[in-house]
Amino acid sequence: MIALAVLALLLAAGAFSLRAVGTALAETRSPVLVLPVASGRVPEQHALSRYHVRWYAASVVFLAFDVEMLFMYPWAVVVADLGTGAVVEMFVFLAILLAAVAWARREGAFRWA
Amino acid sequence: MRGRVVTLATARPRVYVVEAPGGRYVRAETHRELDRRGWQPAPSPASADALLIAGTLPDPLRAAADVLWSQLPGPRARAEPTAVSSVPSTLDGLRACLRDRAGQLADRRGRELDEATRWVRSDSARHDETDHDDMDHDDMEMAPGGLVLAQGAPDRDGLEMDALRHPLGPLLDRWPGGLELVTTLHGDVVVEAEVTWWEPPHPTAPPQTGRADDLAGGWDAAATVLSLLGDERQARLARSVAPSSPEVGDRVLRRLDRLTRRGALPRTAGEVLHTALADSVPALISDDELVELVSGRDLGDVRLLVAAHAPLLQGVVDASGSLDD
Repeated sequence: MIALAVLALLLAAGAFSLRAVGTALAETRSPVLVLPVASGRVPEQHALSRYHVRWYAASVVFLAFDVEMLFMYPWAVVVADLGTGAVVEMFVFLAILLAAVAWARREGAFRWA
Repeated sequence: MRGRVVTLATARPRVYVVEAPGGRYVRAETHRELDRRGWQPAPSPASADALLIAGTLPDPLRAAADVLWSQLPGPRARAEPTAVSSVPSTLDGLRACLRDRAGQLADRRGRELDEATRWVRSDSARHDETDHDDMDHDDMEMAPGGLVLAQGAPDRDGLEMDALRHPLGPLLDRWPGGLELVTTLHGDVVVEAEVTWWEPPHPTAPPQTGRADDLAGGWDAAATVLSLLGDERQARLARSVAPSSPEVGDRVLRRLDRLTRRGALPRTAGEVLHTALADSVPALISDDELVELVSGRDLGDVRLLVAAHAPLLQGVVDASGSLDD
């Protein structure tokens, strides 16, 4: 408990001294302001805008792989005991998921521009 | 101690190189001189120590140059070489300016008057005004920070997308001088574009003409494309290609072909570079053809396509002397 308190104190002192050094070395207090990169022009519209719907399709396809990885972790622990049958079953499962990816590709989920 | 740190930190400054209208030869020479000194070109104003505008800016672009200048963090230096012969002394001057402590401190104190600072401040002033009005909240949401939101338009699948207007150029690194391409974006895909060419204040004569010049333009375009793809080493090789070193040229060509096959480089860009470097002079590109070339491409591809076609663009050729002169 005491060790934790000392650690917290040290961290706070470190953060504070970094800030103090920054203030001491700064020439002025006001920060330099930055604009979005626009080749010497200023923005005409706010950058707050909708994401392209294609990002959602790509993220759903990513989820297919993500969930399959979740399933593969426990499978990897027991696959040596279960033998060939488990390997075949896993590849059948993967093939089903890949069929979904092939379908998404046919629907144009990866067609970007 | 301070002197040694400053010398070490400014030994090889990073220079943000921008081409002014008609400044193509000065810009190419600047890149070659940077290579000779082992200095790195900066990929953005925020990561640059110095701003170098190659060529003479026309007056309408002065304000744009000031906005760009305000985006460099200090210590910073700025120069506009107008002749190929003045490039080495200009680079020396930039480094001397970075090492001038009194000058840099004065520059820092004057940054309250920066273009960007003034723009952001006036923007928040607008915002405050609308805040005090007894206005409806819808208006607020339509213009956060005093800026309007993009209008919507149906995309190629009929889904409503934001149509965002984003300028490429007039003052952009690795971009043809004087070209301002105002794109309308759906996400990162260009659906429409408007071309504006800014004229140089006075026509600049090319230092050399004829076949050798065409080839130099081709290698310059290849170097720009490789640099945009993040391959600075091959870009330096492409810039160093001389008529007397065919094997270096072959290596760069093979690299470009491989990038095209892998799909990193749009096929149109790969083909036009190959034609320009290996066989013959490709046809010039008019403004309408340029718009057609970039429509339906994403922003990254647009940068590569424009860089690959740069020596063939009508506006570039008009500004820096035609091939037959």
